[in-house]
Amino acid sequence: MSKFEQRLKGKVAIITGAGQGIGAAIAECYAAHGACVLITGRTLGKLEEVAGRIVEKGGVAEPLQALAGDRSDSEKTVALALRKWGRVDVLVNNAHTFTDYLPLTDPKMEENCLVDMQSGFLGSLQLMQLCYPHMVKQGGGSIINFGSSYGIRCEKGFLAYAASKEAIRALTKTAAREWGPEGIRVNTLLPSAMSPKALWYLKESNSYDDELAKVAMGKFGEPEDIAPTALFLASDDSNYVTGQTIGVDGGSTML
Amino acid sequence: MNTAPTQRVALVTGAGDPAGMGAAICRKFAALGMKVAVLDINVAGAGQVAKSINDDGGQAMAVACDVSSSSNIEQALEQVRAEFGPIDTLVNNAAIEGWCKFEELSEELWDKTFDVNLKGTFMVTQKVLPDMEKAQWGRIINVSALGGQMGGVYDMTHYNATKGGMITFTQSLAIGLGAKGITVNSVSPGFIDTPMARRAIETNAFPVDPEVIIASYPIPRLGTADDIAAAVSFFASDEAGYITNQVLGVNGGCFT
Repeated sequence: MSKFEQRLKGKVAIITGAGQGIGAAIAECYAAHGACVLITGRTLGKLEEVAGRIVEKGGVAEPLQALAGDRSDSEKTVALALRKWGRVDVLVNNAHTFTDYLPLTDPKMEENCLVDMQSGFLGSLQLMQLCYPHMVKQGGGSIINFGSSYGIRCEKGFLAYAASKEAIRALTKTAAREWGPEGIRVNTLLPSAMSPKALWYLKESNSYDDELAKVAMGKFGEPEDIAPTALFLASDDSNYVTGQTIGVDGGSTML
Repeated sequence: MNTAPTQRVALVTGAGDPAGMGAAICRKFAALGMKVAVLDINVAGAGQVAKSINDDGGQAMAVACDVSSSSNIEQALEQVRAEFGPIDTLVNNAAIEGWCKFEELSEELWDKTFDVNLKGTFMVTQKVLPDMEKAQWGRIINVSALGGQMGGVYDMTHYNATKGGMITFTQSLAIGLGAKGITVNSVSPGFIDTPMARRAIETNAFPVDPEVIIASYPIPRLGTADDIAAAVSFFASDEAGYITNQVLGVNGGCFT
């Protein structure tokens, strides 16, 4: 694939959780391929930094402070994309809270589940619902949701996160069926790129080596390892791909 | 990080039908600047595919190869290595079908299907692998099938069993090769407009009207060979280096 070919020219993308890590890497990759990107997250300063880097390289980016799962923020997000560029072609639901380790019997369990579900599952659903009529009008679009190997493997202590991630996969598959005839493709990406918090947890719980042993490629990923797959799923190269789950995790999850 | 060879060399089996998926994969690879070895038991067909690539300014060579024959594979690889150099990308695409009711399925047809589809995949992979190990970089893509993921057709027990085998072959091989910079993935085509599917439609092999099947898909059309080639070339790309052990369904969303 030529590095000089702009594979998202003329497209508009919304990327959540894009102030750092995977979301930022995807935003920069999309912008380099010609897309106008609206990047959202909790901390405006970080988003402005990412947008600044993109604009410096000649790309088009707009930062917006928005909390995943807050309906009024989701409405503002889609409205801004439409006001700026008049369309939405790609939605990347990357934002998700990650509540701490908690056994099922903990009194806070239910509360944790609601926190993760609100930001991850409902946050993804809200933006999908809001983008839908515009994608229909345009004749299609591509939605990329984020699952997790933790959802599929179900490690001890992470029910809230795992449950929301698996709910997101159900959302992907349902939307792929309901919206496919309208040209909207929906897929789930399972990334493995360690956030600072995840690394902290692995060290704290002495599970770093155990986790690494599950990765066939013998190394944890970087945000830059994830972006090319998000590009493939957003581009016309994946025109017949919908409802699928693809792991970008060095071979740790097999479906 | 391990780096890709500057001049990529790909080998695609079962690529001798200009209307098939193998040929589409070869054309896509050539368009991306790779040298492509077009293998097929039908050398005239492979020659036609290679010629059209060369006429379009690409680099391709046609090689006769019955993938169920160990000596055939060795001869083919010798030719490819002599002309193009070491192979860094392998697409195991060669497959035969042959619809047959289970009650009538002969031992001979069962064995032949396994010899080409599954044993062929094993033998070609094993013989190509040293090139990738030496380079510490490689891409192996196994073209499986929707039937290998979900079964679902009574007259295809033998074919679907081979394709299911290709998926678990992929998921086992990947474990040992990741640390060597070699990724192993599978593209699983659904109902694709290929000569194989056309034959099935024309002979009324489907238990249900194919139009009804297609209309039920989230993306209600037949897939194209180019849809498959795009997914294969994604797995083959340098930037997909952290993806291994995956099965990507290119099926219009009919199986998720």
